[in-house]
Amino acid sequence: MTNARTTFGLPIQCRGVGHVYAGSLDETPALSDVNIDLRAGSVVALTGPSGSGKSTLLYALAGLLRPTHGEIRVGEHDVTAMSERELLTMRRTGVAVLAQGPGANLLPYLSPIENVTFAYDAGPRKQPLDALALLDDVGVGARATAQVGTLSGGEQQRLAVATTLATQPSVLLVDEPTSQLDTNNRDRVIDLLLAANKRTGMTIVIVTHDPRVAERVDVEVQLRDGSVVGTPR
Amino acid sequence: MAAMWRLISRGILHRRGLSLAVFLVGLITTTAAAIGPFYFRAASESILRDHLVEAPAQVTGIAISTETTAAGQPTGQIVERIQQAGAPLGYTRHVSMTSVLTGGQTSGFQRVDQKTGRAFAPVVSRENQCEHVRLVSGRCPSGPSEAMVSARIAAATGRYGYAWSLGTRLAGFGYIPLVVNGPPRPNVSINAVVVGVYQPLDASEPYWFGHDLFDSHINAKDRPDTVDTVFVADSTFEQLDRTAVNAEVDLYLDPRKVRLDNESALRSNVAAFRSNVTTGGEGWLAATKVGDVLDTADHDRRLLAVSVLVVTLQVGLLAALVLFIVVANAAEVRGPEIALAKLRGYSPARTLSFGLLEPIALITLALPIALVSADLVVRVIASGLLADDTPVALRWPPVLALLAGYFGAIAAASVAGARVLRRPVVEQWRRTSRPALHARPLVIAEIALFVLAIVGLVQLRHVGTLSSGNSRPLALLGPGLLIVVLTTLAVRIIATPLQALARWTRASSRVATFLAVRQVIRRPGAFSLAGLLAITLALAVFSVEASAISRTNEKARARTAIGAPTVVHLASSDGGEAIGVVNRIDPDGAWAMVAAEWLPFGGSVRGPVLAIEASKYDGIGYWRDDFANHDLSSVLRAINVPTPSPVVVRGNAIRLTATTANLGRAPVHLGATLSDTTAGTLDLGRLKPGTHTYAGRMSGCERGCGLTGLTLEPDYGDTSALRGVLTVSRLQEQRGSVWTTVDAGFAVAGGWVQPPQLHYGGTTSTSVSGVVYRFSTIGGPPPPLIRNTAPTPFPMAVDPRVTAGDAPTLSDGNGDPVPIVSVADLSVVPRVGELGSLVDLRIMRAELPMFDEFAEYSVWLSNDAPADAVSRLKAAGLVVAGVQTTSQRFHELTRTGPALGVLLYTMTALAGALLAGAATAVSLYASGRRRLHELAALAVAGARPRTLFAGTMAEIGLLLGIAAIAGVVAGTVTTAIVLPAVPEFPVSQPPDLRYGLHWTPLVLLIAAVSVLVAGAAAAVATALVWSAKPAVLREPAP
Repeated sequence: MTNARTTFGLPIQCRGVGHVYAGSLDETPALSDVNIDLRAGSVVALTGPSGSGKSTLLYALAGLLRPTHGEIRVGEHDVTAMSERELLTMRRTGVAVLAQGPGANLLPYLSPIENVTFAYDAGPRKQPLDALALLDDVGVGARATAQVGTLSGGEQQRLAVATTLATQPSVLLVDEPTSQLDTNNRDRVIDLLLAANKRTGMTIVIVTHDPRVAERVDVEVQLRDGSVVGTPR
Repeated sequence: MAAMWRLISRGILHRRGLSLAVFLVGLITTTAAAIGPFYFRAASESILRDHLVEAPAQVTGIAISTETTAAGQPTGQIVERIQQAGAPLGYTRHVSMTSVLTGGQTSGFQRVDQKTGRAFAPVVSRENQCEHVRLVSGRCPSGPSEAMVSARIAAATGRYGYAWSLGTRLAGFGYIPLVVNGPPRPNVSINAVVVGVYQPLDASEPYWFGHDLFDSHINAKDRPDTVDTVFVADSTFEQLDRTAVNAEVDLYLDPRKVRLDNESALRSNVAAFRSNVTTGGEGWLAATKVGDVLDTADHDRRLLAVSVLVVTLQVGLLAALVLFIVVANAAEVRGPEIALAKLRGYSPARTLSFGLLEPIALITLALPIALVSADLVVRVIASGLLADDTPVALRWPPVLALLAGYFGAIAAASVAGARVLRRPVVEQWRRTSRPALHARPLVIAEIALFVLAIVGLVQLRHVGTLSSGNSRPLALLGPGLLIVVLTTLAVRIIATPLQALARWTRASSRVATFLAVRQVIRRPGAFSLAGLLAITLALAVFSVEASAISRTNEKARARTAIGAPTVVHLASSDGGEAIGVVNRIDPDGAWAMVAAEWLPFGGSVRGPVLAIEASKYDGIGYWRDDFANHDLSSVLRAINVPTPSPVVVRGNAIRLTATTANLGRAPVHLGATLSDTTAGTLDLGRLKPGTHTYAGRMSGCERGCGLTGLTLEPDYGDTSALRGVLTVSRLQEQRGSVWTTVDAGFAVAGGWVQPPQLHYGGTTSTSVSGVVYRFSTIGGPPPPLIRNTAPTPFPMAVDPRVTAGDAPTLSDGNGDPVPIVSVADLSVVPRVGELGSLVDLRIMRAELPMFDEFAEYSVWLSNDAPADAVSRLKAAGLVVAGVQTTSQRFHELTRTGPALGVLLYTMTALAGALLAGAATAVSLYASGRRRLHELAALAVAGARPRTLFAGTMAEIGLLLGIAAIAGVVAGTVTTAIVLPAVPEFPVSQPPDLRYGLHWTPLVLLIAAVSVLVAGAAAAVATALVWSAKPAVLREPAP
């Protein structure tokens, strides 16, 4: 395995986080008084039915969405109080996001290795990148220079994971990583994420509605109608 | 940075179609910016060239002349002085030399003595003269005692029996008449033998430099006879001693050598040259009007400059707007990539580079190609629409404009990309952009544009620019402003019912309609796109209409200015000759007609008079229904009233029966004036008291001569009083030995009268016996009795503004009034324009015997005239001084400054419409990619393909339809309101311009747009619905 443990995960805290989507005619509450504490280096699954606020909470953790109220801390930083520039720096240096669907994580006209380099080049890194080794790790090393469009759905998703890992994050926020995958690819993607956690100690938060994914993580946080309804594990 | 450029290039290649669209629009935008100055330069060259080419050679040339003696080479001094002064720029040095024997008169035409054959003839030597005439017989004069006379004079003198022909000796000096035949005479300047008989090849060619050398006619009524130039060799003058000559050298300007670059040099050069030539020499003249021609061209060019500026700004703005929309759509397609860059934490600067460098690279790539394209487009325009050989040269203005367009395009692209660059990542993922109608920046931009347009229109109106008949180039701003106002309003207004329709269809089962309306309302930029399409379509409608209307007006002006499809100007003002020739070559009067222009002086009718052959005019001359208060046939009937027929006698003698009473003591001779004969006036004998016959012999009247008058003449030198009562009752002609009575109408009232202008010395009346003439004069003959072939009063169609008084009259040329009656009110007369009059040529010549002397004759040809009609006229003996055609004039009018401004406007508006079409295609493509997921989802949810197709089709059709309707309406309204204020011509000339809509091009345009709209909607809808498979949902959403 390449890139031996090089990062350490950060703890995440949410205090009274709420969010309301404002539409042209009405308002839609998405989160309501969410309070959670996630330990550094843990792998957490946010589960719940559609519309329960999982993705909204994930976007809020990444600083992609400012909650209507409440406070979110990632490590020492109060994400809700950070400027856009600081948030960018945070995402460049410590918090990576794997968006839902491989298309949102890849540039279709670049090869896998170029996609990894594109992600790595976003900012200064602690460690040099061995892109080919990383691609080997996720199982697309043999197709490192192929067009992304020619990769299968599973390969694209694993490539997407590789691009986020290339940024060497302390916190990895993952949105529905297995929603469009078959069982085999689902397991491979989860294996990759868990291996990365094990290797680097990064904190991983996975939004999923797949119970088999939830089974494999350290902590499961269940949401319903924007509120935390339980933490079975 | 290298990695970034690599990334950019990969992105460009990946999105080939979209990249090509951005590239093309960027290319058009920057080309549009550069094309104005390029076009202006070329059009200015064309205007300058046209003005110089259209001006006669003698106007642009320099005529240098001086009075000198013939000793040596007369023109030698001038040539020497030209050499010292240096040939001015663009002028051909002393291409010709003219020496004219001078005296009391110089190159004027002189009378031929009909009895002796003597004539005052201009004697001229002109360099290379024999290359510009056709030798009918003999050869070119080469020695000092040789001359060449015209075939017309040879023929005319031949009719008198003393033909100037080969071998004839001409002698004279100065203004002393040339003496025909006889031995060489001592003490005269010239003793020359005719060695050649010539006919000018083309009296209108620049070589003759406008010199009046071929206006020959002999035996015209009451006017001096004139003789064509007698050409001699230059050596003739070299041998003359102390004879005054007018030495002239003409310098020709070659228009091809004059360009904008050297125009000012030409002016100063000509001024210096003239000064050098004329300084220090009395009587030296160096005349030219080239400065006036350059001034006129300059004025024309200034009008074009404003037009080009206005049009370029508008098209630049429009192109930037299109580029904005295209780049905005391209940026939308790249939204996920930009979101990814932000997600990865790329700095704002790098994200900006990542987002904008792609369109900037494409626009930059287009920059050099734009310069070449602009050059190419203007070259195509120049070759097809501008003056021949118009140079297209690259100067700084196009380059600066190109750079301005480039930075404008970059700015537009940056603003367009900013929306996506600023969009939050989550918003991009969720694609939750607010509907365009509510997008604050767009609304603000629209309001700003609307307010600016209103302010602009009010300002233009306030300063009078938009007032009809007050044409200023700035009025070209009007259409754009008005169209922006109208289309913005229309598109905004139509949004309200659409929103209501959306609410209504949401609750109904009309799924397709709901989908269509809903998509139109919510799609970002949909209404902006509709607005842009509407604006460009309106501009296209306006420009197509403006172009069609301008063409119609240009044709009307060309036809009015020229008068007929072809007008052949004659060097000679011998109307009888022209009429005779035309009657011979076109006996049916189907395609040729003689006309004459005349500017009366004195009398109460001012302004030019056009005399036409009214019976032929309808099929040959131009007329428009607003030229008179009656239709053409009524006008022609009114001016062409029936008149008494001329009295024609044939044979070898005539005899009059007359009764005389109360004769005074002074002897009085009765004479008969005959036309078409060498005899002129026949002496019929001395009057005797009582009834007698008076006879005289005719010659040359075997085929008929006209008896035009009866004269009463005293004996030569007798100044006693003449009086008596003469009653003329019968006319007889003798053929062989048989006398036959000819009906001369002596007993018809008004058949024989005193000339209206000669109302002294007698009275005329009619009795059953014949015409009774009571005469009484002292010191001279009474006026003649003339056969009255002219109606009294003289029927004229006149412009009411040029007649004064209750009893209007026309001056006959001698200052005597001829009573006229206005039979129709004219506002415009073809050829002469406003403030003119129209008369029948036959009646005019009968009313005004001296008419020919002052008239300028021409032959008008219809479109049915044979191709060699002009050659036939020449072959028949007419000397052509120039040919004008309506089509030539039309093309000249299409190349004036204002017309070229309208042309540029039309081309750019149509290009704008094409641009908008391209923007629409890109927009549909880009939005289609986004819609594909929605349609696929709807298909998965169970929506029928037919419903999806109908919805998509209706959506696109609705969007484009709104734009089409708003555009056509706005364009049509704008045409009606603003076009009359847009200048079409540099100067105001009749007839009035007409602005009626041309329905054919409008309908064709609407049909073309409808087909395009329907086709585009169907094609896009089909492609989208066909591609909307469930598998699409697995692909990344744009």
